[in-house]
Amino acid sequence: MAGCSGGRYVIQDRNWQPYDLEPAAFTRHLYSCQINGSAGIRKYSFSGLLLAKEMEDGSKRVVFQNEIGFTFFDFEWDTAGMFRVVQIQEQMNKEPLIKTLRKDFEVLFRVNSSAAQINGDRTLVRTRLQKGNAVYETGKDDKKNIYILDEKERKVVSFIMAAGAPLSGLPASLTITHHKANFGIRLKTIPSND
Amino acid sequence: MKQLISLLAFVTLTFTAWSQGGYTPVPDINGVKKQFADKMAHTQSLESSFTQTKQMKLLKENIVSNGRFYYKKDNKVRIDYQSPYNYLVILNNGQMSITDNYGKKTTMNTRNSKSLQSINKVMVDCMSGNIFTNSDFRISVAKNSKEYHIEMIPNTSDLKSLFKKIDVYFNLDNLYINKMVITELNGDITDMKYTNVKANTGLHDQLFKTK
Repeated sequence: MAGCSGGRYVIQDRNWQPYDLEPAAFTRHLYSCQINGSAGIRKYSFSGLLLAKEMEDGSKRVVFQNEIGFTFFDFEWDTAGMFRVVQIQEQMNKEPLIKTLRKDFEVLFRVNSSAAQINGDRTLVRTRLQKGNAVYETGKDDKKNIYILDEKERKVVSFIMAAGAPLSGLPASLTITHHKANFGIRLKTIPSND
Repeated sequence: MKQLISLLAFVTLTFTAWSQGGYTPVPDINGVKKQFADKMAHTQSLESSFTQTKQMKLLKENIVSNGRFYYKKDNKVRIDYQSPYNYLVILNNGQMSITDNYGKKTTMNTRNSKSLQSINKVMVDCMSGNIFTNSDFRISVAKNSKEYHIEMIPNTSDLKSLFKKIDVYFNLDNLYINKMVITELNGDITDMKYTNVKANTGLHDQLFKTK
């Protein structure tokens, strides 16, 4: 999942116009999830279930737990976008990891997005991040991916989704790759039991 | 007078807790221990289907999964989650292997971790009926007309950091496990019901290979 730079993301059409980018619309989505990374020379790997849910009060929760039911982490964004760690297992309670996960989910859910812009042929939507941009791309085959670019428009993180994933909701499957760090997340929808 | 009131309150609370489900405390735990020991002396293996329900209180969510469970004397356990995701846990003589939904297999030696060792022991002890001798827990026993209820509260800091308690329910007639309920520190509950339990079906060691 790791490793070399994601390469430069060349944006041909720069005819950017303001765009109203809504947060991702979902009520409940359950994924099987795998998180792989390394801290120094130590590698780690967690697998389990990731539940993304919008609560009755409009806040959003992401809970990652193993298949037997132990919680790895539980994150919350309130309706104002304020982030909170509700619960986290000791091994994952590291600031860089929490920061990375928080940023990935905020880009995916489009929480705390700054003012968005859309390009001329309406295939790219971008929002400014603290450093660089998040770019939401709709490809020719309707494939929707997301990229986090640095200030030099190089891919730092790629969110590659299953074909046909809706821009408004959450994708059926997704691979998040951090190109400069040995870190990645794989998500695959678990069908509802209902 | 104050002491009498406290004592009455304690006794009332204890009976209130047990009375949910109509359980009454068993005064002679040694008698129960002997019952289990006699039964398990003749039990080489167990297999069953299971349904696991993870109840997340604050999120008002239940996640349900199903699979097959296998135990072989003395310390082999296989938990095979089959729907709606695949996940396989095998415990065998201090080794643990986990194969996740992506097919990735991880093997570890539980002897390298106190927590893993304790979890390994709990699983095996619950199946083998040896939980009464597990010093990692404070154990209380109660029963109703259908089953024994064993309440296990962690004694060690490692286990206390993982969960609040485990409740295990055994069928009164055949002493096979009916249900295991793990209560997490945040109040979430994982409930595992075992059905169609069969003993001594001749399980092959191949089922418990960790490598």
